[in-house]
Amino acid sequence: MSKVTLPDISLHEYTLDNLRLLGKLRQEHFQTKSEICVERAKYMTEYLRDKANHKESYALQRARAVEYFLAQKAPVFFDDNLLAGSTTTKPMGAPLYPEFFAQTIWPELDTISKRKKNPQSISEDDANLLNLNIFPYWIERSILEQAREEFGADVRLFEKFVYFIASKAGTISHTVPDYRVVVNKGINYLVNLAKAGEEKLAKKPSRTKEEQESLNFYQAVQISLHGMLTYAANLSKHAAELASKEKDVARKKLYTDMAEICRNVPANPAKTFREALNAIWIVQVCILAESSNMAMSPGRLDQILYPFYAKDIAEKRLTVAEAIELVGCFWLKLSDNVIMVPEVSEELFGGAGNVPAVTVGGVDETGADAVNDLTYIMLRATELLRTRDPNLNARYYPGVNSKDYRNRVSEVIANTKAVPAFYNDIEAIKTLMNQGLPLDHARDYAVVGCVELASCGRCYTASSSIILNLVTPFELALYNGRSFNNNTLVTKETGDPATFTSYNQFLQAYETQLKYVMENAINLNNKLGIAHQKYLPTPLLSAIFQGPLEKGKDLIEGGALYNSSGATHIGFADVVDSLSAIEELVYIEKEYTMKDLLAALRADFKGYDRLRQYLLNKAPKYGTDDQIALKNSNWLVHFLFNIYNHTKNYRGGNYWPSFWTMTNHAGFGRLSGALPNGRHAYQPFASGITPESGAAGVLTTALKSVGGLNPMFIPGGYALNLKFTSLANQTNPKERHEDLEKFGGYLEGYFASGGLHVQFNILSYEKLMDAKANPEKDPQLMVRVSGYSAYFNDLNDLMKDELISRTQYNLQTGKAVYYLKG
Amino acid sequence: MSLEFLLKPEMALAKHQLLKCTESELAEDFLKILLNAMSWAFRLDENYRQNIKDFNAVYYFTSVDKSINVTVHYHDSHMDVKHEVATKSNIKITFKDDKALFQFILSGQDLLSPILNQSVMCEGNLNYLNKFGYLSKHLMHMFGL
Repeated sequence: MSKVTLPDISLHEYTLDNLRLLGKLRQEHFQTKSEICVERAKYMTEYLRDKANHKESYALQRARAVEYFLAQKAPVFFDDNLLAGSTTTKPMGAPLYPEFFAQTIWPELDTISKRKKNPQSISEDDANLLNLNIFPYWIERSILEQAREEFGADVRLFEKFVYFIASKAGTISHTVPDYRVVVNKGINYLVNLAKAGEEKLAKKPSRTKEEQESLNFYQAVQISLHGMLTYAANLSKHAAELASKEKDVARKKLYTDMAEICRNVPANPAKTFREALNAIWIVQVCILAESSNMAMSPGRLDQILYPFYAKDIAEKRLTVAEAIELVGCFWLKLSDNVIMVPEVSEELFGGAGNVPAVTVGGVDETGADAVNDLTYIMLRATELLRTRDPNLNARYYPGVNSKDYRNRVSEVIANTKAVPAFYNDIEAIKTLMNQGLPLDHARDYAVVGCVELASCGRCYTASSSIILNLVTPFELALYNGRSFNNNTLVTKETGDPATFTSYNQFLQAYETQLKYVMENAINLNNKLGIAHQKYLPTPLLSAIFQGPLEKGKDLIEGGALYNSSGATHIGFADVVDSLSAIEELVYIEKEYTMKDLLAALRADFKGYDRLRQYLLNKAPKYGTDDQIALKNSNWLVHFLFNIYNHTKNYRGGNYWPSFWTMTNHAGFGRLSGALPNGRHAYQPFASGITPESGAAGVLTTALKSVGGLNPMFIPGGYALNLKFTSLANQTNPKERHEDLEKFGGYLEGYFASGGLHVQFNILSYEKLMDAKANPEKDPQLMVRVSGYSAYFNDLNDLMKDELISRTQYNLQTGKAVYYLKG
Repeated sequence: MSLEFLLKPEMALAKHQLLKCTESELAEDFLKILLNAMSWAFRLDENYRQNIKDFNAVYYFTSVDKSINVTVHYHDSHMDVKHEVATKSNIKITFKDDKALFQFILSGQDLLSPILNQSVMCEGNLNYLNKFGYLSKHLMHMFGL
């Protein structure tokens, strides 16, 4: 039976004019500047330094620290949002995780409030607290230091910055907890499960080492969940206090309602839609007390919350307008925190939010159409608010989900110009099954962070473990193991390509260099993982997952049902095109020698215009039907998969390769030399798995060549970024519908050819150039970067230019509209 | 926060030298000037000295051509600077020239150049570098530079 009962799925009658609360909250959101919040860092440090029993296991010490923090955590209410709880003590706060990378802002404590790009305010008192009280405690205790000193992690390549990022030094997070158990069973249920696990083991007259660790784990779970319950109780108490003092009738009711809600959830099962939303929100806040605020993704909220919505609607406790308002409130809560970003990262990689992904649509575990009224309500809330977070993703199963749904998602993309992304259920499910998931678990996938795939509450994906620059090993192959800008040997010599007599020789050199960097990254990730196991277990998050409580094992020890580590790659199109250029230009057509090419690259093409034009316009390009480019793109995908997917991580799972780049393709591009695809030195690479700008003149061919890269070999997911000049902007409903059908046609064709993911910017070159020149004109302009959304004005110039220059397609003709750089 | 110590002749000279560094192409003798300014600030200002209370660390700065070898030892609220190779350090910073080191530590106009050119390389615990960065930049901040 269809769960779509709305008479108009567009919900256009509901606007920010008649949803006044949402309009007001949205306006306040965009007026709020981000601030550093020291609350978490302060209480975690206070506990671990001054109060912890250091004879206890680290698991217990950490759980108690989290409990201590949550018990002290200020129950603040900033505005009229209908949901209680906040990530930090600031309306828009950047929480600090000194065990990770918080100390990178130490040099900037006097200047971070005033820096040019994305300042993050901090008071003098808080800066002094960090400088004199908090950071000194952690100077030897950051996880990277622990891994280096105690576990012998080799960080030399990592510290050169340009080869790969070992993300575990800064975060794991990147997962989808099991929020179903939160709303349906409540936290007390989980506490009781952990208690039962503890009691069973405590009864044993003697325990093995593993059993003792399980006992500690069950205790740690109870302790950290107790902290969560204390926070919820404090929220309730404070809301009641505010209600008792409040004169305004509406606000008094708001506080009274929140006091009652927090008395019930998340301790107990939710009774209403609002309770369910607030339960999830409070748990999300508490998860971020323990894990960093990076891509902690709520998952399939339209599925999890639908029973509560449907019941409330049927019993006339809720209207559609109220549901949109509540979802909007939740979206704004998800946006109440940002990541702390030091200056050098802002320079290279700036603009990202905290990227909590929400996934709607697709099929349910039986394969039936899962789209329901709440799917459309969430789409409408997204369309109205146009905030960069949450990162909304729309699953689409061709032939099962309706074309009305597909067109409605397309319409939201047209109106927001950027969100949501589309996912092909057929390929995503097959890809997950290929990694060992049964069909029903694979069908219940959600998106993590940018584009990664995970079965909700079952897969511990750690999907950003490695961010690897594919171009630097390519440069090492070009320059015999040396970096492009100095002559020091970085890895190992693989020969001077000027002496190579075949393409295969060059390819082997690249394979050797790439494997070297990959092995380095994998080894460091595994060492960091072991350091996390000892020092940073996550009992609170583990409780909100299927597997750990049954196994008596933290997620970090392999407690989840499915364990993997993600490795994403930057510079895919640039490497493929550079390989193809060498193969054809040097070894097939013999138009130039390798020596000529190397000289041109070292000179950044100064004095080599003819050669560069040849490389840009005649050499094979990925995104076309050129056979060499097709061969090389598939080769690279398979090469990476064959190594990663047969390599075990520290939890016993495999590595899942992916191709999403955030803004790293601009950052890494800035650090790399000229390439045989014709790219100048220090210019951005192409984003995600997208063909290079200007390379793919025909949309259908581009879609076919990306679709042909079988996603089964890219289990971590990928980001295909497309730009259209316009979509469905006609006022005539018939023409508008025709546009949506045409757009849908491209999508169906792409998915039929095997495409997994696609996301859009519906913006012309001119509009983006104008936005860059006149930032005050549209300060809230949202763009799709590579896997997530950002506000255009927050991006550095390099990233803005990269977005401007991305290939733009005309919807009607399917042809590229070429960009001529001034 | 009292900044009276900045009026002392030693600090005025240090400020003048640092200003010249920021304005010059080559930032000649930057490390020497910075460490000298830091040393005076620790001696003259109790607040600044708080930064190295209970702080025990060894920094080793060396130039690529090995002509410069400076070891800075923080201990007992003191700062000792010696022109020698450090056998053991919390962090070793190898730099191509004064300009590169200046850009790297003070994140001037072009923060990325030292990374791009690999003209400054670090080995060891980077958190110590973060602290040194704070000490350096805070000094500049106090000087109004």
